[in-house]
Amino acid sequence: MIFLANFISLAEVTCKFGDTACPFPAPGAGIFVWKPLTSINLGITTIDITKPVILALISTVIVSVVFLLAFSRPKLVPTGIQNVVEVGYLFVRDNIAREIMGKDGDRFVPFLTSIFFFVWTMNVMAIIPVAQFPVTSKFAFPVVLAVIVWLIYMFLGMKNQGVVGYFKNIAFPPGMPIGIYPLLTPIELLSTIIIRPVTLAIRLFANMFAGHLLITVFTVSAWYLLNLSNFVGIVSVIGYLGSAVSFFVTIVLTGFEMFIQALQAFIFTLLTAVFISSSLHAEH
Amino acid sequence: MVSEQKNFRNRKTTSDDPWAIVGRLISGILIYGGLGWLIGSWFNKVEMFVAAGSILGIGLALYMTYKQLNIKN
Repeated sequence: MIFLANFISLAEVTCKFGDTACPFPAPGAGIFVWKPLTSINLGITTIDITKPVILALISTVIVSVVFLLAFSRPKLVPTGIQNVVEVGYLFVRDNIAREIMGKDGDRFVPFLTSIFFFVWTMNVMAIIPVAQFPVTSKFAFPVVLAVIVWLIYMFLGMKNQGVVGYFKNIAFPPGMPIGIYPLLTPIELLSTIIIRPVTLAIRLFANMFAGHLLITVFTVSAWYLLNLSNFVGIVSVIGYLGSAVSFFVTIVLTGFEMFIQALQAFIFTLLTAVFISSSLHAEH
Repeated sequence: MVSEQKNFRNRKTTSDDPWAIVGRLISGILIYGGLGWLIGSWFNKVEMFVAAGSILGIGLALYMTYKQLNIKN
């Protein structure tokens, strides 16, 4: 029972239904904080296994199993699950890899496909009943993904353009008047090496964070406004109306979130492809 | 459909980073605003120098974007 209780986030709602004196329990940052279900002691540090960690593991298993099932015994004419997954794979190949990188893109399609479906599955956890938490709204997850992307495009850049050549190409973008380079070089170095991965992580995190918060606010207010129906007269009417509107907005927002989840996974993958592409060839 | 698949190698790629301008604006403000903060702390006029530095940074970032887009067209 304690185990189950830890699936509920730290934000404690003390209001009971029908308690008309209770102020609106506005959900805040607390809904993103989770009690550890279990802790693994490593001596130096302890690893807390929380609900987001478990959801991330489940996402990994889902993506791995679906792709293994689809492509373990591939047929020339795809049937069943292979058919479905192949559509996703071709989408990443044609609309992201080839669109951005051209013929060089095909090498990176497996990586981009993994990133896309992993991020998407973690995002979709926001609207799966019982799970109901976007894993990527915990900042650590997008950060790790962005660090992986950063390592890859930095490594590819140094490999393809040489260590000195890569930094030279970043620091001195072509086509500027010579005299302005001392002013522009620091901007370009900072934006390419540091701001790029930071914004990549923040964009995904902030979108999923805001979406989860919005849905929670309207869900809680649908429940809370129903409280007002315990009054008599006009207040109860307002309560019923407000509750119904909030519930409706929750449903609309859930649909909107489905769109945002796919869009953010797409943007994350697209920018990964753009960064890799810029590392393969210097701008001329 | 088939010809499209064969021709993808010749297709013009769109490898520009659409978010590059945001990154440049942020780093422009960080670098020259930060520099302004340092100089301002020295002369006891932090607000003025931070503002001037940030505007210089934004100006440089916009100028760079303008120049790069001009080359590509």
